[in-house]
Amino acid sequence: MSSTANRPARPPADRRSYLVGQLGMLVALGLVLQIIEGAIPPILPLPGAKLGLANLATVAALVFLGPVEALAVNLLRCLLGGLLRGSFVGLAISTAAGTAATLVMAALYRLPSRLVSLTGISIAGAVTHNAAQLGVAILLVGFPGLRYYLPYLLLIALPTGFFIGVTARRLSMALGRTLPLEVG
Amino acid sequence: MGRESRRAAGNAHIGRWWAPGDIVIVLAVAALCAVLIAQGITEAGAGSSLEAVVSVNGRAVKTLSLRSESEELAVEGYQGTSYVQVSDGRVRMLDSACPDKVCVRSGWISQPGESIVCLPNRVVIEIRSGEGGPDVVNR
Repeated sequence: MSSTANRPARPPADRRSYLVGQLGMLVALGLVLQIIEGAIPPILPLPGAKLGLANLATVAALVFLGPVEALAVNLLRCLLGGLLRGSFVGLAISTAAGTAATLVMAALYRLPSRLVSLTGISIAGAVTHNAAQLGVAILLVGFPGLRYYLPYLLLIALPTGFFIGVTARRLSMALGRTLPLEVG
Repeated sequence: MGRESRRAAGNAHIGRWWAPGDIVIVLAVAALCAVLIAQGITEAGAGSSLEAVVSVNGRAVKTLSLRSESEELAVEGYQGTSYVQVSDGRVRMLDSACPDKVCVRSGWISQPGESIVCLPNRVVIEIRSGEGGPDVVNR
């Protein structure tokens, strides 16, 4: 265990409870970001076109903990966030789309960092999220005509994914300096 | 920026804010969008996917696409034969074996949800959207 002078806390011997604490912290971060995002009035009058601030927590989990932990953080955040909003359809859509996006991001994260950065990973995640979101919506509403909406949702995912990716990089650098998190 | 972040930059994807693969991802998504939008425009230009469902006594007998240029259909009802005509994206009851001819005088219909009813012969023509889904979704 390499310890550095500027790290505020050292990982304790009990890795398990340490991991629980890290997961809980990132889930809480995602929930807070989700609530903040909910307070921002939508810029575009398109359903499903969001910034995806809560995804920052998932990306941070991917950077610091790993793919399985990122899936766990995203799943817990979606379930708890869905309960907070109280909409079952919303919960189903965000859970399915979030899981699909996290799987894609985790797969891309395995590529060497000289090939793909957090920006590209996040864009791919946003695109996957929006596509999966629409797919689940079509299944739930039973209206295949919604598929004509797909290219516009994908185009919107480019700037939002870009923003989240760039922000996630800054966030990860800051978290690595201030919290007992290690880049994994 | 201590050695912490430099070390982080080495083995995580947070060293640089972009990499060549990002451009590949963006271009792939943009190309996919272009294809999907072009496809959508082509399908919209091909005309509506409305269809007229002809039923006798509540049972669907035949479905006619309103996309077909001109088509006629003879349906056996309870009092005789009804003649349904499709033309230019519209449908009407050309003639029917009924005493009052209310159905014939209903004229042409072309919008989803519209219908022509021949009560004596128990023949109904109803326009539906061919997608098989609802015409309007209110949320």
